[in-house]
Amino acid sequence: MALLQISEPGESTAPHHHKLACGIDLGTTNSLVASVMSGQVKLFTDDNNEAMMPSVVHCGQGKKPIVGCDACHYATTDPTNTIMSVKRFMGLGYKEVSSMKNCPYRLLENGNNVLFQTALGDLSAVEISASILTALKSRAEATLGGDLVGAVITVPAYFNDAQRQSTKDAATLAGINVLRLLNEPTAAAIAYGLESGEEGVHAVYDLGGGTFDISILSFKKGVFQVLATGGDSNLGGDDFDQLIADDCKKVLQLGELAPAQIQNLKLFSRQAKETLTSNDIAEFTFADKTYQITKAHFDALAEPLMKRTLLLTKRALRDASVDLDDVKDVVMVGGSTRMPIIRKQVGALFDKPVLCSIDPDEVVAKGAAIQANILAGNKSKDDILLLDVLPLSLGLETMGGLVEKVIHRNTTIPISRAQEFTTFKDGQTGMSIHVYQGERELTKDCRSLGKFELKGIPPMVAGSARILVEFQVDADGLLSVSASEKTSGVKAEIAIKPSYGLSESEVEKMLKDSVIFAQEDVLLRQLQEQKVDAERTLEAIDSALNADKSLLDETMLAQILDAREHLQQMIATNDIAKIKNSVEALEATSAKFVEMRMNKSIMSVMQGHSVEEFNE
Amino acid sequence: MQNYFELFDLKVGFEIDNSLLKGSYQAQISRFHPDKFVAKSSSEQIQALQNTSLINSAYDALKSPLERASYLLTLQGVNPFDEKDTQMDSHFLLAQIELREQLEEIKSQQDELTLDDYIESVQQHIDDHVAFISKAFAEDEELEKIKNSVRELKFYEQLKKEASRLMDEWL
Repeated sequence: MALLQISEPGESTAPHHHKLACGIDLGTTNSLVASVMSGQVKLFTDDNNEAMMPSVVHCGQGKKPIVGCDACHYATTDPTNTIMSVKRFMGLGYKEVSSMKNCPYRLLENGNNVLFQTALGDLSAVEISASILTALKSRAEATLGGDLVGAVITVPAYFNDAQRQSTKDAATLAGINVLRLLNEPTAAAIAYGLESGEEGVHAVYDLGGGTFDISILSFKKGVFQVLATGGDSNLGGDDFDQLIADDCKKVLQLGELAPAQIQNLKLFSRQAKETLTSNDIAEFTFADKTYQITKAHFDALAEPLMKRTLLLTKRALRDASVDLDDVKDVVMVGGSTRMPIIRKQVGALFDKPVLCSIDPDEVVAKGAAIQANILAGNKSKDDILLLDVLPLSLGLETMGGLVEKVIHRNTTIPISRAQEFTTFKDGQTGMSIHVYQGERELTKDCRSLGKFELKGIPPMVAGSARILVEFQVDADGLLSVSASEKTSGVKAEIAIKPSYGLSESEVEKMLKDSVIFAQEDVLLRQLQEQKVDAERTLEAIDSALNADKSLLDETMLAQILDAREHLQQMIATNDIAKIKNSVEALEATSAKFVEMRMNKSIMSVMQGHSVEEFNE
Repeated sequence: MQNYFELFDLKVGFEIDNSLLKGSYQAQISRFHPDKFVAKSSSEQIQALQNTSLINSAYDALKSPLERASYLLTLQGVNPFDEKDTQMDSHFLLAQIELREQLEEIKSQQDELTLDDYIESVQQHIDDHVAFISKAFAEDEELEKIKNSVRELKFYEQLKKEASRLMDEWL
């Protein structure tokens, strides 16, 4: 069993200075960036004082993509090169994407990925998202007047591993250090929770442009704990627009539409939906005909989608073991919650008025900014801790196309679970492991995350090999799988990354090849990152030596000091590979020391804290 | 640390103070969560990740009576859910089949009131088993006996889950 390692957070020896960090809401329709400045959350705006940046990217014949408002103009004039709602494509394979209706883009299959064929080149959803993130980053840096140490980027709580990994890859491409991927509803709860200071159970109903999330959270003594989360990563405001578009096509008896017409109709439909928020009737002219829709008719069309969100809400409550009456507040997030039918029906379900005092479009970015500020280390007192959960169960394929769940939905993360397997043939040296995510029992109903080949098992009699497969889900909700074969003295360790994610070398290659990103910064940035990591390692070893030097004999101390000295010299060379090697060497040399400290510290963990202070 | 109970500063045993467990869990997790190590070296971040994973697993293992009882048995070298040992009392299995048939019957008739009674009766079985297990641990009963009760408890928990799900579908 692993032992706890002691290392006091916040004991940095460096003088305190404010670190620039921001929160980014990378939305389906709009994106925002915010930061905490002088204790206040501030949204960064463009030249027109507009905080919302449309998540639209025009990849025309220029050298660079055009992002935001300026790109919107191209939506109707150049629809195939103007990518809207790219978030909906994140982490999806070609099969899933090609079944999407009314998609005006030219799509290419590229292994597990999909590429958009544009005038700027063939681009992945990750690259297009990265260009949005780059625009947000420069907006933040222009206002903050310095380099960002990092950002908290929000994702729908219901995003699966592939979607999360893609978001993180996009940030890496944009040169953003991701402090944490934060679930959108949790971000909203932070924005509200800190202001009200209310303790209790809260529900966050988040209906954005493309996704629906429901989260049940408890807030108590500075700890936000997500009890359960649910939703649908393919249900959002766009679908309500589509209802109007489909109705219009039916009523006006329109045939096949050209890509530009599809985009146009989408825009008109969205405007009509927005009109119905405060009016009883909306109309627009399309293809020289006038289309009219009443609020009552729209509500009737929306009923099935609405019902689905309420069902998902009830399931999340069940998972959280919370009754409807226990919920103290219902927070509304996402522009789509402006629809009156939604506020009315959600209010009716919980039998209380819903909370919407913070602009539902801005609340997520604001919460993310608050969390970014905390994570960057700008706040030492009264900080809150977030405990999030795994949104979808993780499992392995077993006999007959069944999925055996290894980690269940709504388990608090980070978490690791190990499963032991054995060989079924004499002399078997390989094994295939297929990982799935989802709630259903059959593999065909779940999302495949990747297939791993385990090789190099020492040949032995069937059933005597012990292969330990470990699932590790980190605080971002990202999975890594490792497998090792443990028999008398033989140990093979393999770290595996799901096949849809980008490997480090792929990210590097993308950066080099990409038409979107300036190449000169890339190497510099890598060097910077490597140096920061080296400094941290030095700091860690120094504080460990300060505290527990007495555990070491002279030889071990001398070895560690040598490796430390060597690393310090290498930092000065500005050679990425040399620094990296020296960091690894220092870590290897001090591994034994770390282990000794763990053994020593475990007793102090038990005795260091009085448990009473945390009780009610 | 020898076991999960020690991690939370609790005495090893089936009866635990839930608020103590929760308080201790929150204290530990607040201290070791990766969020507190964002600006630290990658090796410290990995340690934070492993530490919190351990704390979460430990909390999961202790917070529910079924999991806690299973863990206590495991600590004493008894695996209550060994795949090679699925022998169960035949009377118990017959009773389970009957209960399942009842649930199917209720399902086909869409009878909410009967389902509510049904869930309550399953809950009663759960409470009885938890009480038995608690007493058995306190009195150092034979582990084999406790193991059987824990396995039965799992059957009832599963049944309750399915019945509650059905109820939610109707409501």
